[in-house]
Amino acid sequence: MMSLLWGFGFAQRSSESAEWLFADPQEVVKTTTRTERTVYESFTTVRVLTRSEIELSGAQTVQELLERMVADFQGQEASLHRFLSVRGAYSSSEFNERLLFLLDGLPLNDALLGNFPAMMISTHDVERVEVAFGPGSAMYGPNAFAGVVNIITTQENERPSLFNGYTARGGYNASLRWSSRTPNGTQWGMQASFWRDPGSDRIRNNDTLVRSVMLNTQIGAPNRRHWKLYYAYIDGDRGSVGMRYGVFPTPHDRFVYRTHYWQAEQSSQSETRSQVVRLYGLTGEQDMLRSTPLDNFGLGSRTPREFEQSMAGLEAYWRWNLPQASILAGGDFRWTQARSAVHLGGTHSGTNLAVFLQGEWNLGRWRPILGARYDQHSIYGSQFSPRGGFTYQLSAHDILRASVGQAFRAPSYIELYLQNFPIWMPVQVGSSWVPFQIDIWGNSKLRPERVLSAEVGWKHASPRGWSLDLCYFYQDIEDGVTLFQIFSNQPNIRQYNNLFDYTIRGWSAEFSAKLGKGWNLSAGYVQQRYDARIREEYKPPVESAVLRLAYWQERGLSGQIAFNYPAVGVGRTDAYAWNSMLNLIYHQDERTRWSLRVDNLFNTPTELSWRVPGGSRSVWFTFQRDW
Amino acid sequence: MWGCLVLLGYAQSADLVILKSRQGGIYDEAVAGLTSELERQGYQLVIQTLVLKGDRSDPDIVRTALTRKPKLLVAVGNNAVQAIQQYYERQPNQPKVPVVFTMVLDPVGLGLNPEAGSKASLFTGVELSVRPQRMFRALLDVHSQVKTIGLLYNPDDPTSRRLVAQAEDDAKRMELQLVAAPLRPNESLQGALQSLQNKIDAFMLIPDPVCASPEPFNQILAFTTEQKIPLIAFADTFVRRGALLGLGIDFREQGILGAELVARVLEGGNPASLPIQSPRKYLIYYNLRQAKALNLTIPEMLLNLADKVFEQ
Repeated sequence: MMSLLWGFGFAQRSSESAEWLFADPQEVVKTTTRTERTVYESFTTVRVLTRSEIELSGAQTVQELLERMVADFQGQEASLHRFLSVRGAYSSSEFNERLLFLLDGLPLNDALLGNFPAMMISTHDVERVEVAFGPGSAMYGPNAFAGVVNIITTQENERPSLFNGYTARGGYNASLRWSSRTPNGTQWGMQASFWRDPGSDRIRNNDTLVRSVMLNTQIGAPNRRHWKLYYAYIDGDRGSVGMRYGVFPTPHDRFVYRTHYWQAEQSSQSETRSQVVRLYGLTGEQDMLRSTPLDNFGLGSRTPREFEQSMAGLEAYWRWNLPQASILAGGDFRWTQARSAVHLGGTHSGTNLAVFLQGEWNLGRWRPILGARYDQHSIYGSQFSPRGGFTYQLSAHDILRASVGQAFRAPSYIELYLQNFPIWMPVQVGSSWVPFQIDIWGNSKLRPERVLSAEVGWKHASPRGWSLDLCYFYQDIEDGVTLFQIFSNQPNIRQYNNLFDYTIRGWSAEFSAKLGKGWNLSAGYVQQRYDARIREEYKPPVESAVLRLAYWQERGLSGQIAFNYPAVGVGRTDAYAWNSMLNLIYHQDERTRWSLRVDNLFNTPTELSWRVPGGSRSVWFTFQRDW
Repeated sequence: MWGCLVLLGYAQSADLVILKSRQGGIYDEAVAGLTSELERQGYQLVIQTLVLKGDRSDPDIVRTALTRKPKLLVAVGNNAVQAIQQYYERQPNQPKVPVVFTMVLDPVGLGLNPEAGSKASLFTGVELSVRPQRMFRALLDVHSQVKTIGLLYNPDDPTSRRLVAQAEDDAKRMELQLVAAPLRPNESLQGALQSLQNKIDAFMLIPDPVCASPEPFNQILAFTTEQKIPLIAFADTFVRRGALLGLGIDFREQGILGAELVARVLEGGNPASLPIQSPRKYLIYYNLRQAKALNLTIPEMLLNLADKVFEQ
């Protein structure tokens, strides 16, 4: 992670570069508060991944990018998905329902699962990723439970840009990008991508095939009243590997995701006030193609389990600028619906009305912030999510931060109404393993999960080009949802229930240093401990770490070697072992790039590699040409 | 295969070697502008980029650059052009190539202008400057009552002395008064600000570390807020952090202008006969919150033409 804190500690200029004075010494993020704050002044932990870091990572998807580059994330393969655990707040239902994903500010999490499959956004069109850890419900409402990930796509392309890449084992990607701006400030842009990630050769059936289109237009000058229209379509098809609860791996199952996203936003600003009004929504379908296993663990026919969903919302917020403060207030009305005659018993819909308020003050060295949001949902009732924090500038190089807040995760339609959804677990009979059918039921009385989260941190930015960020965090999770055997005499029936209350205490450290001449060293470490009031049979590892050594230049050879601990886990087994990745990039010219990626460089036995015989190390070769 | 890639990256000769003062940010923007403009003009060049470390190894980097036998060197930033200058002076008998610089704040002060004589005969480039009169004009467009403008500068810094002299000339022509308070790095910033108290209607920030580094800037911002006078600056970062308005540089354009000079040298032009280029366009930024705090109304037309309007 690069902290661009250049501006401190320079003395005489005659022998020093003065042009750095023109540069912004600090990265600015908007994700945490919807207002611009520098990373340095953020009251919660923020990580920013820039375009060069994205390229150096070699990651093909946003999922991989976060797993490889940010120690606070841990990847886990599951029945139909690969999800992310964040600082110990792992998924309860094997999807990314505890993280809120935004695409250029457009919320992506659906209502069916409360999920967004981050493996379906290719990194090729991503300019930067901002991650704000901690409870975000005070600003964003449901699903901003453990954090918010804002994916910002490349917007400026003065000429059409078409690139294509090829990887070993049948992988490819092709992307067309084009944008233009008229003299009166109107601009439009489009991106179309078509790519296949073959997955690792360590496991079968975790390939991903995605087609996506994104269109956007902005009418009016960007700094005055203007309209923004946005449309995105993501069509993804992904294989599955195994399941959290030890269900027999089904290397034939697929997860199909087809969703249209849209947003129309009008913004205006005056000297004292700015205003945003937006209409947004999504429609889509998901198929969870599952095979019926035969007694000998052969594969039966694969049948679709189809779901449809829709969402529409209207949000408006205003911001007033006062002499040493700014106030933000707004409201959001959202309607959601899910349909499946077989698996949900028909059509279900709900509405949510929310109001939110946030105040930020600039009191010299202190910058406090206070906010809250009230949600009233037609199905699960009301939720109040307050949040407060501050930063205090100790010196030109040191800043303290602290925050506390509450957030909630809304139960999804799947968790509320699921029916007729069998899965199979392996059961030992004698010396053999046979599939045992389990039926999963929804629970219409589910309550939202809640978290009370607190964090204190300190950041030091040395004028010599290195920085250190230390943070202690605490999360108290209540009403955690999981599947539970509800009838003692019917072990084949499992139902979603609010079963788990537990706390997570931990600390994280992030270090970054420019070693000169294009070299950068970064290291991240997170440790967490669980205090379970009801023992959870599975949880992510208590430690995770990322170590990266990178070299970057505009032309010629660049590269990064990275180590992750632990490697991506599978199913219910605790993940272990270091994964190592090497990514070499050769920029032949501005339009041509070659890259070589080696995963599991040292062929370390890991959970994923153990599951699949035939080797662990995988090599990808990519060629990209911009036309 | 990896060995081939390594050889490809490091041992090949280059048509052009770019020497950057630092990695990342505005330097990369300028390089991107330069390389894309050269490609647009149809030049297929082998380009290698090196970055100074800011220590005693920098002369070795210049020597390394020259071992690539480039047709010319491109220096991005003060440090890079100074490293090349010093190397050329210390190694008079070694072969030299023309140098095109970009993003250099004070090329005249560094003796890079053609009038400097033979030591500058291989240098031409683009200066990084915002003419004070443009800043004064931008200020008067939103606050026509301003008569006296104050600034802080380091009197021991020749670049700052030149900037102040230029600002005094421009102010006189526009019938404004300039009050320049000296401040050396080891002196009290608060004392210097107090010498300006109640004497000025506006404060102008110049690219001098004594006033434009983050901590001094915070104190100057607090001073101007308390005095209720506008603060004008030379980059968007200051406007974002509270200055009323700023006139900034397009760094990509710095690279593009550099590419035009590179092309002329490659076509046989003599660097000594190519005048130093100034930026053709400036970016303008406003801070609406500061305008409100100062009871100023920025005309709608100006806001529409601004490159960015900050609200905090």
